[in-house]
Amino acid sequence: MKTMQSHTIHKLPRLNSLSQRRLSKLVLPSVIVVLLGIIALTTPRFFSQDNFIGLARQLPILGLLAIGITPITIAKGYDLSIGSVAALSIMTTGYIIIVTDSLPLALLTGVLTGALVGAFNAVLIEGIGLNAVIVTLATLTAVRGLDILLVQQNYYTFTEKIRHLGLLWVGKGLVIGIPVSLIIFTAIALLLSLVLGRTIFGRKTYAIGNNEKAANILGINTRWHKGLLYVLSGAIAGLAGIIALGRIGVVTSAVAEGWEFQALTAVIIGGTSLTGGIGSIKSTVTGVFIIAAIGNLMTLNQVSGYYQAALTGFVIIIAVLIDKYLSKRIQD
Amino acid sequence: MSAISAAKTKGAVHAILSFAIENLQALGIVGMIIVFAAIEPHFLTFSNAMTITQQIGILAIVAIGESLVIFTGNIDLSVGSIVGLTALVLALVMAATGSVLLGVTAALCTGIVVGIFNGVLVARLGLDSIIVTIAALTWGRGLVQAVTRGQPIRVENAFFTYLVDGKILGLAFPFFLIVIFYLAFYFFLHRTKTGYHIFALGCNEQVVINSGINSGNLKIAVLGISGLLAAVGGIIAIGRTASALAITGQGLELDVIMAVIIGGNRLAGGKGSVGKVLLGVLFVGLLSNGLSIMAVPGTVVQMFKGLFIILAVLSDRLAHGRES
Repeated sequence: MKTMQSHTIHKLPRLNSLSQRRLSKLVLPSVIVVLLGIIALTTPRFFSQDNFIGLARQLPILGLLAIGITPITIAKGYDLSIGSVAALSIMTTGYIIIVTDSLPLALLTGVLTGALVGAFNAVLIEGIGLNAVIVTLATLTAVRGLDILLVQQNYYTFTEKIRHLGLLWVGKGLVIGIPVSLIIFTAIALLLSLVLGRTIFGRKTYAIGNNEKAANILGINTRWHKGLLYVLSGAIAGLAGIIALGRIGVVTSAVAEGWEFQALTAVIIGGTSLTGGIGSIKSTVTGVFIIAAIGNLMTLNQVSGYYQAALTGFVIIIAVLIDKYLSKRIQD
Repeated sequence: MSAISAAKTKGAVHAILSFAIENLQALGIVGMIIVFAAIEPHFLTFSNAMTITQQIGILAIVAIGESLVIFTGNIDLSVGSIVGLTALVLALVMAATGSVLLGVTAALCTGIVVGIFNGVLVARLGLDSIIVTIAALTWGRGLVQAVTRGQPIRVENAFFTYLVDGKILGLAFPFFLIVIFYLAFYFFLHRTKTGYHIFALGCNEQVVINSGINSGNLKIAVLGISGLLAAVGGIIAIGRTASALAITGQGLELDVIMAVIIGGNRLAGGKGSVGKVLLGVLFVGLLSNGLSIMAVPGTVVQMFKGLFIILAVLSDRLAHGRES
């Protein structure tokens, strides 16, 4: 069995050089894009202007969450707490808007809330050395409890519509026909892409993902660096929460539930490897487009939202399978 | 003279400290019982002990499967969704045929199929158990919500209520269920070769493979057993709520992992025992019961649980060191 497997693998063309390795990362997204293209052609409403505007408004929230966890995923960490963190940021932002009516203060609070939870994760995972998956799942649970508590405590004020014009503008506004949220998302994506691809900070991130021990020996403070990446993913989740609040305009306790898994799926589909060291913001953005398009096509074809959640799970498996297959070819 | 006595005290302090770290979890449980009993006199009564037994039935049985997976150095995050899925299958088959036997068989088959599906992805296709079971957590819950659409599916049958409320010699039925399952679990884990291999796999996979043991089959087996026992949990869940709900088993995976780890079993695998699993289950059961007796609201309990999971991994870190 073993020999047969290796035999068939050797028959395949080998992928050794880095450029080939990068090229292989395009296979998965391309296959899915072609498949989606075929489905889209049979769904006439997909290519309407209304649908594209709807997509453009929906995309930034998932997009921000996904690009937020991309750096820590490249550095071989996990952040599964972002769904609850985004929800907490929705609560705190909403609260500050209601109490102070000041948009800048509310924005700052939302981002800071996320960064604080990220710092909490960072201290536990990198400072003390606890298991990242379990810690961030614990944070997911604990913060969700806090979210529900906050909604219950402030039941009347929080279920009120957030009528603050500035906040609604962030979520729904247009500038020269382009949604403000999409502009924010693009700006953050470009910035992060530059940081990962063109700075020492980015190089360190990839180095840690490839081989944390080696990176440490080279003099990189790996724990501090990964800690910062957790804070970053928390802060961006906070920003995603603000945009979600502006878009939805109402605070509920079940908001943002399951977003962490959707974001993780987008990251993996784009081609960022869970084994660390491989991936980019560009690839995650591709993944986000794919996930958003899948959801949109299913909605247009009247598939229930629940089945969409079920499908997310299978998409994760297919994505990691193809990723595994490709990286195996590189190694052999 | 004083130097010797100083060395002696130092040695004694060291011995006490290492004993405390070794038995951190057990000491924690004793401490918690004292605190709860001091605050709430009703806590230490026979009837409350029976209530706790009824409450921890699902947790105790699902924790067996989870601990097997953790001993091999993997993790199963899908057990909560499997509990929900199997409860749903049971309710649907019962609604269609009215046969308890068919319903239970279908539920058990569903559990073992999902577990083996996870196992094949992990062992044969080489995927990480974390991501495979996160996927199963997502698709399993999605399916349950899609089929129930938030509406409970009723199951009216005395058999299932007996699984929770039944009494033999004044003792609650789950008590016997737990005793039987844990005895079987003990013999399997500590008295058979396969049990030994499970720990070995968690210590060093390469050595296990070099010894000629089929590590892949072992992984499929433990994930399959975990699925099967989650199905048993799903059947008991029907007994508790008399219906399959969209939220049946939701979040159970964290309770179960918390129980396994807080009992003192190593999260990274290779170390642990049946006694420690049971200890952890008791800890989580007592915690939930104590908090509910003190009428702590559900949201605060959820926050507590999150913090206790962190405490659990913290104690794991103290007892077993940093993961390599």
